[in-house]
Amino acid sequence: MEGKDRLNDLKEEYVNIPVPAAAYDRMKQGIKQAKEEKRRRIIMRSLKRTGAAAAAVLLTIGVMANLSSVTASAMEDIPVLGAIAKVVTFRTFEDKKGNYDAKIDIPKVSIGNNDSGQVNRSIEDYANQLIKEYEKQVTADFTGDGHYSVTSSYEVIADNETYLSLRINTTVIMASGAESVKIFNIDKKTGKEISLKDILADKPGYQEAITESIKTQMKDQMAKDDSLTYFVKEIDGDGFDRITGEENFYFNKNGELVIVFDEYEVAPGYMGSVEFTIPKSTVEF
Amino acid sequence: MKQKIEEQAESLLLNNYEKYYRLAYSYAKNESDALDIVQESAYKVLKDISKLKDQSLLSTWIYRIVINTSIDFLRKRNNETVSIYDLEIPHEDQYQGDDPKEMIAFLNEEERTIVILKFFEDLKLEEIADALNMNVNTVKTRLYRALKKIRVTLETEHV
Repeated sequence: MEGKDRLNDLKEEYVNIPVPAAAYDRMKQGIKQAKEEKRRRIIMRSLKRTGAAAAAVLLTIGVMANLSSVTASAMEDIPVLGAIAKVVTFRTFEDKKGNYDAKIDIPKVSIGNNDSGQVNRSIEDYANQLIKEYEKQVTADFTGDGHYSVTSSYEVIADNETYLSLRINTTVIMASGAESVKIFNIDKKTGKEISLKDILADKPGYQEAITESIKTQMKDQMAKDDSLTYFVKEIDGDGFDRITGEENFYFNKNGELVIVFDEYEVAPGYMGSVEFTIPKSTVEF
Repeated sequence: MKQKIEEQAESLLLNNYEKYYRLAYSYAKNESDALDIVQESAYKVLKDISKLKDQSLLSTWIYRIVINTSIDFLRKRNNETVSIYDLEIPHEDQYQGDDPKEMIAFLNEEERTIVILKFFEDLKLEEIADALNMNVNTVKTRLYRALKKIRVTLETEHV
């Protein structure tokens, strides 16, 4: 046998290695895995940046508030909610510079005769973080070819006898869009802001029960529908682990607790912000 | 630009998945491990693409990742601490038979990869050097040694 024939035999042997159809799918899976991970990392980075900005905001709040009142303000009435709670747009921060634009509606809450000063300060702090980040992006752009767009609006998602829940939706668009949610819950009796931690404080076992309920719902939804993906820490090594008490939440009109996660927090970006309703059979307030 | 190279990598991976699978299979020697290597390689390519400085090297760089992933995989599977490249074949005799399977088994991993890339995937010596992260002369030497083992003599212009 000639050397060339030997090589051809070898080549034939090689190209005849059967390639299963699964090879293509596995290739795709690997690509998808890397992309999702990358997206999450980008968001983590921008969240960290916002965190730093937030710390800076705390120091300059007084100045900011004064400056901003000159910038722009629009007073606008929102339909009165119930007899006692009222939410109006206190002011709107609007700006446009080249590829940069911002429109941030800042609401103000008043509940009966309660002093809502503290809640309104939190709401304003939150908005000021967004404004500050926006201004930082504008001043940091020396070449003038950057993009940054931030839009923030609010809606009252629940108003019952006990609580008023005000949801702030913010969309930031840089290279890709990110959506974030912040819900302010106000105790109507005191006019004070309450967190999930507060309402779980005297409910032993609730934290675990909510955690389990969310995990079960994630798994059930994924089993039923292939297009849904959630990250569960015990399976993916990253993602939802347990309820910390810092989560966004509100009570729906049936009085059920609804937990709201930000985009990327427990699911890949295409899922957006996701919500889980915890049945009353699990926890009741 | 960055977006573009990612897309390029993705289409290379998907269009040539059979090539990468066969290469992985030549190391793993079984379907299920080869599939694991393929997925892991695709993941690494997309994850580390920003580290690739010269975009014209993309296709050889993908080969390199598949090869390295295969080697890592074998090392884990065999629970070895030494590189298979360090393993010396005890006898350097020539293979005397004509069975392609036995013939290829006569080569070590590295020699086999060079033969595969050179003659079955038609890569240039420079590209093979790049994929294996060694210099061209080393590739040439190893290639001749490999061919000698399986008693293949070629006119120089083939190489």
